[in-house]
Amino acid sequence: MIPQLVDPVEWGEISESIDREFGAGVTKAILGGRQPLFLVDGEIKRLYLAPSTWIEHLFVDDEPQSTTFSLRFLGKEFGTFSKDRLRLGLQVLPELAELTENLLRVTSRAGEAFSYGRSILKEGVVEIHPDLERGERVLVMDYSGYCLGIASLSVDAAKISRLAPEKLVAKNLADIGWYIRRLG
Amino acid sequence: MSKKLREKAKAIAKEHGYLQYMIERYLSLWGEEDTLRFIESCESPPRTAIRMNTLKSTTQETSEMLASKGVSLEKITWLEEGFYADFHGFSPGALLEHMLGFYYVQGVPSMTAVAVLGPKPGEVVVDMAAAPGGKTTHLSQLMQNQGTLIALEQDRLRMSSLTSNIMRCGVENAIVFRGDAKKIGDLDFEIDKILLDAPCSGEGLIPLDPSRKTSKTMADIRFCATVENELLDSAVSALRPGGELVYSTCTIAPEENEYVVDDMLRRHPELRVTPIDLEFGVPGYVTPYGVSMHESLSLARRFLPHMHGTEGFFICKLFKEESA
Repeated sequence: MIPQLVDPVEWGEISESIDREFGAGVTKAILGGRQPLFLVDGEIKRLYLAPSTWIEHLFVDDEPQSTTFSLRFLGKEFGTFSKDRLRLGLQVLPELAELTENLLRVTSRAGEAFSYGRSILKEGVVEIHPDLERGERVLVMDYSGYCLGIASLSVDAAKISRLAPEKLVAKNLADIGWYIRRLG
Repeated sequence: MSKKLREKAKAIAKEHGYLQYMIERYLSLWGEEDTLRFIESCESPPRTAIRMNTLKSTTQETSEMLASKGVSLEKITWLEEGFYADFHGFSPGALLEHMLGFYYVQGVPSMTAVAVLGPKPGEVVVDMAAAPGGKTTHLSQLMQNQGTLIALEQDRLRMSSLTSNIMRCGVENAIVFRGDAKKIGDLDFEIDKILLDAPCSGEGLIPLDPSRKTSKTMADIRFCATVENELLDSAVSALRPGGELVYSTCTIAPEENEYVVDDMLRRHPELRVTPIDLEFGVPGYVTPYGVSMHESLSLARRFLPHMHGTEGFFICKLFKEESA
């Protein structure tokens, strides 16, 4: 894969979009002192956050160093661009969970099912911020406060209490069980 | 080798389902009694062990969570984060704590090889054969996610397990490259430490994979030794003067262990074997099959199934002199 420095204007747009969804200043806090970089593989663009000190080893005059090796991963995976939308990476979610109010707390049973790829039903909901709306992305938190993944709300949070127990509340977008399922 | 020994090897090999050349070598290395003990010990798998991943949780917290789920833990004396774990029938990979990256299921010798290298925060460290990522994630843990950890892997299919484990375990200081580790000298970094857990014939893995009793010939061992030699040579050349290197394999074959290091010591006068300050295993061999090796090879350590209840493993720590 080919490394590519992220254009500051493009990074600004990414930050704005993430902040709009998860809260002001969230992206800057996650970035810290790191540098955003793309790894490009054909149509797929993966976004990584890497220590700035690595740049001189990976680029010469802003162009990728020609190397014997193919770069596959670096630092922390922020997400992957698909159809112009950034799909957040699992690796960044625990940090994001500490910075945002887009949280959906679930029962241990619902959390367990979620980590096996299932979505969240009304009966599994423990707590959610009442202002969250349908279509917004939320981080799914288990009974002990650990982030299990990310889901998309299929109903406004304010309307959840009116649902029947077996009704869908949040569709699973990515969960930590992927780490294991991916390996077959 | 005497005719008598050869006939004894043939009989033992036939009785226990091994290739004859393997038993001949074991008899020559250990004698009959230990050879039979080795064969017996290879009939049962090693105890399951886990490494607590302190990048994601404290050892105490994870221990308590596992205890609440009925997992029994027993500390491995020479490894700060290592525990024997009895999951009482549960799959060690199925628990939520595993998905959260709080622990890594890993062989005791593998954890030990990383602990022997002892990487520090801020260093530049290379893992030359990184997939599936057990040692890579352990290196990062000891580096406290600081510095630069370069993971090299050639096998495209094993890349996904490597990156998956890196993400699961919360590693943030790794750069993963795909390519031939023999080209390590092309990396644009000054390397402080290298872990070369070399691809090998796997003769130490018989307790885990009984098919290894018959799947590899002496020619396979020679081929592996050649590759290991080339990899180690590249590693020594790429290491900065004053740097340290751990060479390890999961084979008990001296041809892939002491022979390889002995050859390297002859070709690189700047290289020396250094003592390992952890208490485990038995010393490396200095006269395997009656062949004299550099005496410092006794500072290397070996895990043997019949003595330590683990897979067979070899670990040697090397230092590259500043004067080079």
